[in-house]
Amino acid sequence: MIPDLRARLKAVAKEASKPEKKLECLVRDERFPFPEGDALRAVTARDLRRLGLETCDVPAERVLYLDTETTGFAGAGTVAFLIGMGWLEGDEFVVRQAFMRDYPEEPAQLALFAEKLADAECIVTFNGKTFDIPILRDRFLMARMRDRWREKPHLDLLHAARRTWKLRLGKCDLGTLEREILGFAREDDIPGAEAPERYFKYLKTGDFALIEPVMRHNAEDVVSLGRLMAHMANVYERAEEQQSMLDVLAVGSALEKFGEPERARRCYRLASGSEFSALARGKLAASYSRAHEYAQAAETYQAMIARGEGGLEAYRTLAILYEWRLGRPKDALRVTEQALAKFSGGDFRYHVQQNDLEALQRRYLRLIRKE
Amino acid sequence: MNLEQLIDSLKSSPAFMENVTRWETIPARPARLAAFPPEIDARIPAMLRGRGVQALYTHQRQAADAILRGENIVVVTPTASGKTMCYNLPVLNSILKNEDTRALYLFPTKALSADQAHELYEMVEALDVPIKAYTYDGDTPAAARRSIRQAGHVVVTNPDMLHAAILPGHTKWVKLFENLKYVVIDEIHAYRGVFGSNLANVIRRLKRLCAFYGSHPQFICCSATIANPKELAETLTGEPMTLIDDNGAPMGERHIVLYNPPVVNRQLGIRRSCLLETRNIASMLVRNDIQSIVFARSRLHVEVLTKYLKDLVRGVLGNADRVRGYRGGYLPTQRRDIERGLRDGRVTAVVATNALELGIDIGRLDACVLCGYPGTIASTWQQAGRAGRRRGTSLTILVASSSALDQYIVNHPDYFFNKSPENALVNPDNLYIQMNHIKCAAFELPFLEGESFGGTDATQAMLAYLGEQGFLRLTGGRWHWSTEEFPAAEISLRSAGDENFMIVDITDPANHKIIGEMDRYTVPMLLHEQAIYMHQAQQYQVEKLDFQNKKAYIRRVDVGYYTDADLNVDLRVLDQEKEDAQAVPPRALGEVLVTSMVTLFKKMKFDTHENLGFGPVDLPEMELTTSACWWTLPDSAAEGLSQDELQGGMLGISTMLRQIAPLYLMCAPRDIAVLYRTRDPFTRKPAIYLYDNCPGGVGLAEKVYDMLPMLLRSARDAIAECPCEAGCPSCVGPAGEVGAAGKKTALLLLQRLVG
Repeated sequence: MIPDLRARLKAVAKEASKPEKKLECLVRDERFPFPEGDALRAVTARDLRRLGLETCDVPAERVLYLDTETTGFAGAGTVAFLIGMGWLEGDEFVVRQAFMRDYPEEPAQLALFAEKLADAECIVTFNGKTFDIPILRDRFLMARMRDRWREKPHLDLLHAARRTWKLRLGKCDLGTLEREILGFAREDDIPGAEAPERYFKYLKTGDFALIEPVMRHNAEDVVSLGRLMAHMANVYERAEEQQSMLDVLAVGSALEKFGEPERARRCYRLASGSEFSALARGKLAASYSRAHEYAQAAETYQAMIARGEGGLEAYRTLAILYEWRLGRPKDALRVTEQALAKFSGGDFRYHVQQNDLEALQRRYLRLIRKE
Repeated sequence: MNLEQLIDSLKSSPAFMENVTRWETIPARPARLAAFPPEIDARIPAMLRGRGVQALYTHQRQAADAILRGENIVVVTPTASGKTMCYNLPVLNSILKNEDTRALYLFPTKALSADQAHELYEMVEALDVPIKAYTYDGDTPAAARRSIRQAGHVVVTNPDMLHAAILPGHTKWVKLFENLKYVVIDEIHAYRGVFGSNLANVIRRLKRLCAFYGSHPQFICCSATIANPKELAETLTGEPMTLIDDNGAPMGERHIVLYNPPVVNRQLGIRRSCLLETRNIASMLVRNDIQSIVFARSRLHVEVLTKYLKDLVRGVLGNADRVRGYRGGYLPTQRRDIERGLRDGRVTAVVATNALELGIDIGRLDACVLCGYPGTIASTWQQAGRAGRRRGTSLTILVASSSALDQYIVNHPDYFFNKSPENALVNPDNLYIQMNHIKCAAFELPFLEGESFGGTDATQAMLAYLGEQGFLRLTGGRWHWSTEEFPAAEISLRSAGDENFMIVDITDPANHKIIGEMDRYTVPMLLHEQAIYMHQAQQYQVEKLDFQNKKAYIRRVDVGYYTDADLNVDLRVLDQEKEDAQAVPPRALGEVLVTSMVTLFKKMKFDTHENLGFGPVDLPEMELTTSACWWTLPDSAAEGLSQDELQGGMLGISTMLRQIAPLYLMCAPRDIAVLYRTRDPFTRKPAIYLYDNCPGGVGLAEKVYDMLPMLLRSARDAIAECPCEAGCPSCVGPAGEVGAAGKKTALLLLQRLVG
């Protein structure tokens, strides 16, 4: 192996290389009919906030949808050979793809993207926080174009989608969302993971047929981002109309997280009439507590206890509320007594951890002394 | 008795002195001090004075001055002479003057990184300034990594992390690379052979990226005493170095004693066990409450000695924790605790493998006992350096084992005291190693056409080769990384495998506990089924060794014996790639499979060490596929020699080659192995094999194939010139191993081979 290697080293070193100068990259614009255009135009700063982005109102045309195809996962040697950019233009959704036919085209490709990026007031991606944006930022650095890079307000729909549908769907990749949420399936799509291999083969052979499916896959990803955005804004606007109560609950949690507790509690109350009552009432009670509405919180825990929901934790939290928030030590004692009676007995249905039980006993003794 | 009284009493004890072959006293040396350099930030001298440091030692001042002049330096001073000040001082000074300054500290092991970072934290805390120093290694939580990348002024890490995380992800370390002013490489003597050659290439990659980001760091290297520190540092960094080796730290009087255990069976020439003698000497030290370190050469010996000494203090002092074992397999928290115990005096004696040889800060101890010669002069001084306080006397006793090498050392004290320590050799231009790093470097930043990696001419040829193999693509005058692979993940800097086995204590069925780990090469020796495994002097028996899942299940036992396993090494030629039957001597190059297998173990009784019987070991062979060069002895060469003579002569040549070949191959002795067979089944002749001692090989055997006659002539000259009579460790090995005629036969064979 070793002598063979030496010989080959000598042989290949003789082959002179022919540098080629290509100053442009391949650009392809495609227009898609987009019935969701009005929905996107209706998106307000409030809708964006509900999805996790704090910003002012952004004109729909100035939102840049972004998805890249890369040669690997991370590290300085990974390049984004295809940058897909999308935006709304009238009734149509425009997808512009900047493809580097070879490495020397990267500066041209990045420059094209930089132009679009500079114009955008906000960008929307799917998993861009951990993937696309760090890689693009690195590419600008490596190409010595750091001065052209712009940090923009960034909405990562993967995070928003997880908040919304993880509870029900489990996984939240774009394919699953298209099927389960947007209600369509792609035809002849290639898996995104194939992209690097196809690109390297293309570089060696120059056969663009290898790249066509990657371009189509990328364009569809970008359009899906626009559709998903329109759909999600609608879901949050009409939280209470969601068919699955799990969705209602999840949307409620997100609304609470982003500053709409009243609406969140409407969602919880709605879901508490469903099979997810325990989960919903737990969230409702915690929400009241956070809002310092202790009486309602206590009422909710009482309801849970009456329904046999929430286990020992419901008793414990209720006792704390009575004792420290509502100034009703007698009620605290009563609740603690009830809990002891229920959980310290031999009934295996109500088995709890030993240290939880001991904490309960200590609370009981302290409340007795307080008496 | 205090140590001085003890030394007097030993000197006047005929029973002890009759076993001493040399008692060397190195006189005390006063401190030589120098003022703080006037240029440094006034807060640093103020902080140091607050910590009781009024002035610098001369070598620290020389180091600071050289760094302030913009030079790269290598500092060579003994253990605990304040060498960390040589880099912490200029680094802190630079950060105080410009808070954008960044520094990178490299230590060969994680344990060392943690220790050194700790020392730096203390100085920063005492300065009360917002300087941030962090360790960045495999244990760093993901959440902390981002702030280290952004805000860490000093990043403390190891070469493996630099290679596999920081360099390939350099775009996340922009702040570090743009402002990198100092690269500190401590313990450079640890970087020899394959590991050192890899590090030198990692540094080439680092410098390449620094150039991209517009920084040009200075290198500060520290080394223990080796023969060629300046050369080593220059090869590792590719930069000219200023050598700082005039130690200004004070040292109390040191006694170095070579001790040969008495002969107990004159007919068979058997000496008392080195282990038992070490036990007696160490017991005497512990009984007198003299803080001591005992170095043993294997983990097994560490455990046996720890048990003996614990038994001793359990009875007399009532606190077995005053004696602790310390070796690689212990979990980090346990090790930290032992280190602290040594520093604050809770621990009187520690029994260690060479894991403690490197610069982990355990303060200074009074006495050091070496159970057996550590194998090299440099290691011996490094271990002896653990004993020695700035004031007061210290004692080091080297207890020889019965091995021929140990016997030679104790019987030839001048050889030990007068010979300079070994060279540390590296070869960054090794084709295989360089090729690996060119891949990594291309991933990190495309190569320009005509760019040279580390100044080597072969760069373009290698890039072209990698292009042909599909790893790189040349367009627009640049070589771009062009596959999905992440090259750094495939390449390990160290030659030994890092797959560790977990050791699980199943004594309590409800609570299985992991009590340690062990590297896969040691597992068959110490964790085969039925082995008695010792951990902190507690005996365990191995119940089940799950090789597949890398777990050993052990249960507490209390038996009167320990176990010792036998290792068999065998070699098979897989593929002969090249042969020159006409050459002198006829030789070949190819791929070989080296198998080592533990087949049986002995049960050894405690105290008497008598053999209580054998047991079988049923474990898969460990396999190493690597490249080898082998040559045969023509019939004419062996003519007139008996089988025994031939055996002794070939052993002698092998021993000589093991020592001399690394000099020409520029590798560490452990990177190659030599094996001889008087009747070789492959060549059907007497044959000697030299192979690369790491999976896949790194091209060392190939080099031997080309230079064999020269190598054999050098071996011939070295043997002929050696003044010994019938063999010594510097040539063919002691007569006890090669036989009385071994040296003569080796020389004869070589003369017949190469004239």
